Amino acid sequence: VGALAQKDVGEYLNKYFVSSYQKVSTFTLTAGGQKQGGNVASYFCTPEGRVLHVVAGPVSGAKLLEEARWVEETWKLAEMQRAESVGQLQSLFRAAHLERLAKDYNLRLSARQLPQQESSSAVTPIRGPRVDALLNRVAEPQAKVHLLLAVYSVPKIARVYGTVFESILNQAISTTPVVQNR
Amino acid sequence: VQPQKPVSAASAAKRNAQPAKEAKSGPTPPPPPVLAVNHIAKEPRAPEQVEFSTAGPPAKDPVQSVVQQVTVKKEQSVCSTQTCKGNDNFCGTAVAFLPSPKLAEEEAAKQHKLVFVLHVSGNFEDPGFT
Repeated sequence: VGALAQKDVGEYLNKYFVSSYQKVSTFTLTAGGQKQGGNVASYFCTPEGRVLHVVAGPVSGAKLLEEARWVEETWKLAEMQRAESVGQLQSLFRAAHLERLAKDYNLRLSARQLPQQESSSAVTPIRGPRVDALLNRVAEPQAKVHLLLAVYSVPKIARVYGTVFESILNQAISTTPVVQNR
Repeated sequence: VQPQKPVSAASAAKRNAQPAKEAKSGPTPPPPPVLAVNHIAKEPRAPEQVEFSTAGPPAKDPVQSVVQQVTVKKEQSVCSTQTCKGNDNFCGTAVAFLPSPKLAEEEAAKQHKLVFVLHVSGNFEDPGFT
C-alpha cells in the first residue's frame, strides 16, 4: 500500500487503469497495536475481470510500477496484434508469462509443455492438489504467479484469487472483520 | 470463445488523454509541507500512525511494514500528486479508487482502460486496518 502513495505510481495507475479494492482476508490487531497476519495482492485485469497479471505481496513502488508497465505494454501488444478473443489473449499472455519465468527465474518452459488452454467460459476455481503441485515447482511467490498464469492464462479473477492468497501468500481467505484484542 | 471489443485508434487516443481532474489544483500548487500538515490534521488517527511508524526496528510482518511505509510517506509529503487533496477516494495514496471492482470494470470499459484491483486483509479505507 505504501507503494501506492508514490507520485509516479499514482500517475501511471490513474492514467492507464481504473482502480478499486476488496477485502478478502483479515488479521488480528493485538492490544499493543501489533498486526498478526494479513497480506495484499495487486491484480491487473481486463474490463471483463480477466487477470492479466498479479503482484503477490507488498512490493516497492518501483517494482509495482515496473509490473504495471509490463502489463500495459503487453496489453498494447495484444491490441496491435488484434488479439480480440479470449483465446488469442490467452496465447499471448501465456507466452509473456513464460518469457518472464525464463528471464526472471531461469525456468524455461515452452507452450507445448503446458496443457491446452481452458475454455473461456470456465468458472470453476483453479485450485486443488494439481495446482499446488504445479506451484511447488518454484519457490518464489512471484514465480508462482507467472507459472499459474502461464498454465491458466487470463482467468476470471474469481477463479484464482483464492489460490493467490492461500497457496501463494499463505494467507487464509476470510470474510470476518479485523479482530481487535483490547 | 467470447469476442472482445475491437480497439480503435480513437479509443487508444482517449486512453492516453490526461485526466481532467488534475486541472482542479490551480496554477500554483501549495508547497508539500503545508499539504502534509493539512492532510494529517483532517485524519483523527494520524497521531497514532506517526507514533507507530517511528517506534522500534523495522517490523517483520509484511502488512505492518506496508503501514509504516504509508505513514512515513505522509510525514514527508502527503499526496505529492496533489490530486488526492480533500478526496477520500484516494484512501491515503496517490491512486484514485472506485469503491468496488464491479464499478471499476464498468468504468474501465467506458474509458478503454485496464483494471487494477487490490485484494487486502482488512479495510482499505482505514489506514490502520489494512
